[in-house]
Amino acid sequence: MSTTKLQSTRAAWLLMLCWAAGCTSDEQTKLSAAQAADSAAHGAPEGTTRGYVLSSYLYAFYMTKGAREECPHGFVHTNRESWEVQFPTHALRQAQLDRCGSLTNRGPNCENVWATPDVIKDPLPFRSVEGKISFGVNLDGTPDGRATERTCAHEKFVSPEGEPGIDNQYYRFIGCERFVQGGQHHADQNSKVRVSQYHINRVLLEISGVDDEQNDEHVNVTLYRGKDRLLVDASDNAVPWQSQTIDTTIPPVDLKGRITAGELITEPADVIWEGIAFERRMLIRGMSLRLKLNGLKAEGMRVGYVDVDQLWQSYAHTAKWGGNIYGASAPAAYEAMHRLADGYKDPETGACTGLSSARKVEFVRAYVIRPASETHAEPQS
Amino acid sequence: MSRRIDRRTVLRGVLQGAAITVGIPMLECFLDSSGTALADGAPLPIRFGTWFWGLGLNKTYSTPATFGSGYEVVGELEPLAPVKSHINLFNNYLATTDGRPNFVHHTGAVILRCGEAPVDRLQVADSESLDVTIADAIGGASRFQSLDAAATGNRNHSYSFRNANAVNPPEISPLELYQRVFGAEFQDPNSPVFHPNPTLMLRQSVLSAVREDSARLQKSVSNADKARLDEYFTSLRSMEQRLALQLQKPPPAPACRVPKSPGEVANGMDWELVGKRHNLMTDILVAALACNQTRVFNMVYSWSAAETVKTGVPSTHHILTHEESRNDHGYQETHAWFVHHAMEAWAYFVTALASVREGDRTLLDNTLVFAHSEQDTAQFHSIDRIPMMTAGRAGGRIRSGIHLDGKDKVVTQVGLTLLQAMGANVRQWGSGSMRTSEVVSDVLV
Amino acid sequence: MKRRRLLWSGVFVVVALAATVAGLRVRQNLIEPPMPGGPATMRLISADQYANTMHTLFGEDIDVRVNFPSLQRKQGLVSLSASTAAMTSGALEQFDRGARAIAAQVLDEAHRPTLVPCTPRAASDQECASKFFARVGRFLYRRPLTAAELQTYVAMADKAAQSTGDFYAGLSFSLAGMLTSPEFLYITEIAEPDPDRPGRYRLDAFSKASRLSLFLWNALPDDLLLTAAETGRLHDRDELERQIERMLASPQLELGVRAFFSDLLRIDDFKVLSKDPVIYPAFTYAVSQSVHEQTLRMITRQLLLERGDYRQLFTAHQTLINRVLGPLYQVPVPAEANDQWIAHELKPDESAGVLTTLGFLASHSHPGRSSPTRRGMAIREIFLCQKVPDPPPSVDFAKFESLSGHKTARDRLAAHSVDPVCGGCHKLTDPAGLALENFDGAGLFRTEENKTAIDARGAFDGKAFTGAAGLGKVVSEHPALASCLPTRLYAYGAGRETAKPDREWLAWITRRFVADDYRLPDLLRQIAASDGFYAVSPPRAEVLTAAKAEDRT
Repeated sequence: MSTTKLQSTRAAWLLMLCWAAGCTSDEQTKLSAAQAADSAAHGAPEGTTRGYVLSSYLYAFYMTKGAREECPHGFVHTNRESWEVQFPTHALRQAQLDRCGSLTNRGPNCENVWATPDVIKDPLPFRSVEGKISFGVNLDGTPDGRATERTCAHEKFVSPEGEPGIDNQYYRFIGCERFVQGGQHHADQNSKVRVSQYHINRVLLEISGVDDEQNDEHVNVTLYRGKDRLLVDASDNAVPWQSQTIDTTIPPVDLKGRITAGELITEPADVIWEGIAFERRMLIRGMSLRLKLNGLKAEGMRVGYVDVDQLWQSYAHTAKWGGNIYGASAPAAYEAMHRLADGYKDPETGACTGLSSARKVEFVRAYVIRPASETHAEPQS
Repeated sequence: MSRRIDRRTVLRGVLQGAAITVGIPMLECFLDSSGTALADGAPLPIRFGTWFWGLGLNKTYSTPATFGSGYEVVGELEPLAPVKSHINLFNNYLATTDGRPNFVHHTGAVILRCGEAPVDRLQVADSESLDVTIADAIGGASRFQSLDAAATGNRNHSYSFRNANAVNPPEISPLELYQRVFGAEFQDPNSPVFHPNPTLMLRQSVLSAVREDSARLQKSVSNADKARLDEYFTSLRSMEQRLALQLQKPPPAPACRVPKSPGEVANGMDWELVGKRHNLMTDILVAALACNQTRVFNMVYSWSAAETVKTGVPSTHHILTHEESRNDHGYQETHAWFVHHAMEAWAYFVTALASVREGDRTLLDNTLVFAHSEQDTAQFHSIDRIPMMTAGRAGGRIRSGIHLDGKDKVVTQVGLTLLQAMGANVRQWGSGSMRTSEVVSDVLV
Repeated sequence: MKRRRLLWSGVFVVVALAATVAGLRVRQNLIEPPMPGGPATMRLISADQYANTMHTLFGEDIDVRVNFPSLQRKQGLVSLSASTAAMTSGALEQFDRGARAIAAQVLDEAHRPTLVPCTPRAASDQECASKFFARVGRFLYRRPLTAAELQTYVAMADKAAQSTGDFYAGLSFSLAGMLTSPEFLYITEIAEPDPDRPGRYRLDAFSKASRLSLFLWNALPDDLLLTAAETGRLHDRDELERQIERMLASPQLELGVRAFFSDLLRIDDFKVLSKDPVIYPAFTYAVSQSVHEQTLRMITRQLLLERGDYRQLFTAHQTLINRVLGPLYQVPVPAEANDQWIAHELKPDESAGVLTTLGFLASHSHPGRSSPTRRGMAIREIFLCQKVPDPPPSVDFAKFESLSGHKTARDRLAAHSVDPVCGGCHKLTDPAGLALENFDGAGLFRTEENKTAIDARGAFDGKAFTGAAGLGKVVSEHPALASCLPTRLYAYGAGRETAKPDREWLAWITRRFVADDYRLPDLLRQIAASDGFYAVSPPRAEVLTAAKAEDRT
């Protein structure tokens, strides 16, 4: 490390210790000033640290009116529809119900198809997204989605701006689900970020070592989990400059990044993302943040590969909503999900275990506060 | 053979004298054959209420072209079109202060409510508001002497007073109003089974003991304080009487339907929130009337210096009336916009009353509501000819659907008319040059 | 020799003269002038006093929900109306409802083990009921219950217990009655003949205790104070001063001081503030619920914790912020919870102490813009006890109709000050408020309005200055500042509006306040220990006769 870095690191440690000891903002301001002065006195400025809090977390799904482009044949078949085809006559249906009790227990031995989705093969095909346009980025590096050592063959999309080679198999898999297409779920997404209905899911971001806000080859990005409610205004927008305390029981995640033309791009890393509702604590492999830094906001996408087993767990919860009439058909969905997976090929089985994905994220400037009493957990390596 | 279901039959039991414990669907059979009175001959109760909105009207914009019946509502009064046959509009009735200053956003309301201009902001002479007079006359027989509500969410907004120091506190939360009226202590008047509630008897004896025990406090205080204690004891006795009433089987209330509990409404003076609170509380008040929980009610939609706001407009309704310039048609547009919403709320109120059937009439037919503002032209704080309306027919004692031209007759004629319509034995009303014995004969049957 | 003696005589004369003058001054300060006082008051209990009493007597977890009738503001204080407030049956019904809900909690299974001092032997247990009511009644009525009263409440409880078969239900009915009684709802003072000054009257010991306790703690008298009253010792100056010291040293003092300043500063208005969400999105509902704390904490910190100079309340440049307010000042708040407050240093020229707290600025503004007129008026009425007349009723606002050309508030108001009808009052209010124009309608700092730089020059009673700091300094030095606080405090404590006959005494209290370097605890002590605070005018003839008659029976 350079001298400058060493001295500033010392100042940074002092600052952290001060936070750990619960210094007042006066003392912190003095220390921050001291740190800056420190750095300034020893050559090129080391860079500033900026804090953010996640303020919006939405699906990045390209949707047209009535889903006509994405789902020209309609939404996914329901459990009921599959059942009707599997048992085409009234007598067969009655017999199944008499024997197994429920439409969902369609296995040969009355197995519940949500519990054991591979017990049968569904008669009706799974409807995945057939449109050509999607949000996302080129994750596998190929122009056409051909199989590689680590990835599986799949179709690519074009971005709404016209950029080709977009990978978003997660969208392809889930885009024709009713619970995704209905607007209410979208609204709910953010209400869960606000109110954290099910658990505290605050995500805090720190970008440090920023020398040039427009272009900087090396910056550090750290993700923390937070403990506090999100302060919002009357329009439900997150209030900038709020103070958010780190939850030090969860180790932070250090990422490397660079800023190009005002956009922060972090290097891919495996990250457990807090998420919301049933899609929480998801392992996102090769996760990268693409955020445009606009003054008070940092907005853009989180891309990476969603783990298939974890996704099935959350999907199995959500897609059951609507029961047999509107809920999805598990065997077809399970088979489709595995078929559509395009990343992290298992060397033994040759099957892919990850789905490329993109999420719309927005962060807002905030003060990331270290709590006075708790010690800092070791960062993830 | 269809059997005529009458009250006696139901109470005895319909089928071969077997007792029925299933809830009686009601309720027409409790009425007499013409549907205008209860089966036992008692007349359906007449109700009285007031409805207040601040900052008046843009008169050049909202005065109907013709007087008499069949007037057309224009401008801010347009929302009243569906219910205008129930509404009398009083224009050009003059208020005078007899030289007392016009305390802005105060004097006008006091004059209309008690017929006299106040001497200062802290007093309202010796008068009570006319709704209190009426409540004293007709409110003794129901669970609540009166029910007061303020859609503004501010506890200070009440124009119902016995004197300046004794103001009826309004309910400001729909949920709290609901719980007070229809909460655990509510006795459904149409319940087929009635058991006198022993709790009420105990409460009655407790209050009676409190009254006797604290009577000696009167001896220790000054005359002024004695008068205050007198009011306390009057209120206490009134409460005891009300409890005694509740120990008897209540007369059936043909139109009573217990409403559902409302949700909470956020705080704030945004016009949509005010409207939401107003409408929720209206629904509860109307149900309370239909269920005979009270005979007198007071609703304040906005207070006399209305602070209703609209997102994006930096000033309140009140400040706008002073600062907004008149448009090419000669009125203040945003001021009119706010008043328009107030009139929508008023229309909702009237419609809610009209939607409850009582026999072959409606609750509105059996009610008289006095709606008024506090100013004539808000821009100048003038109180000369404050706009007033009535809704309902007071059981047939009031005609409706008329636009009246007061021709600068004194405003207390209206108050006197209302008092007489409600059966108060009042021959004169108002003080000083506003003292009058004339009523608005076009309207009083 | 002679010259030296002459010199020394001269020195002696000068010193003697100076000492006499000083002595006279000291005498003037030390000797309390007579105070006519007012009639003994009968005050309707306030919402805070009611809640305090329930929480002190029955525990903090008691849910108190009582709708109080609204009171008018007299001489700047709402609490003065308590002495004239009466009750409609609607109001009494609310009290009755609230009382029953509280009584039900007090006697529920969770609370009865701690709050009922004995275990009943059966549903009917008059001895146990008697213990309960004797203790509770003493606090609620601020004096021991008479034998007859105790018997009444015990008998009521017993009747209800026998009817319901439940001892605690019986207590509940009777307790609800006690809470609805005028003996509780009205805090009544009694005047008795003064044995030390024949022909004159004094407040009886229990009335003294109530007045003192409401003044310093905004609460009903506690056990120690009641005992001092019961034994009559409270009439002794020494005992009174001891009690005062105890009360000034208690954490309850903060509650009492908060209650006074909440009234004076109209802080209830802060809690219902709502700003236009498009124009001021940062002023959220959560903010409106925090701003009153900011102002009150600043006041108690400066005046109580630091025993500071009252005048510095207008020049201090440290404020208090919590997590909710932090974003408005753009500073981190390293606190664990929302209700922790930290000190925050403001730029000296951007601060005027309490006058630049968010609540003060925002409540004296419009929903979407500032109001120099309201702010100037508030400064005069609240802190200087000056009355600004009402606007005249028939003002022709058409003159100010075209507001489109005005970029700033200063421009808009210039028209008002020019017109002779308006200028009279606007000259009193606007110049001070204009110095605060760097703070917008939500109380946030700004340097321009409608892209026009803000001109924060102001003037106040002949003194000119620029900006908030300048205003704060001028207000802190204003001649009317020193007398206003003691006047309001006395009125608040005595429950009556002040008038001309009170002037001499109020002037004396003001001089003491100044001599004590404007310290609030000393002022409170001064007032609470004075004869004038408890002075009461003779009761009316009928009351005298009745009292005499009662003495005989």
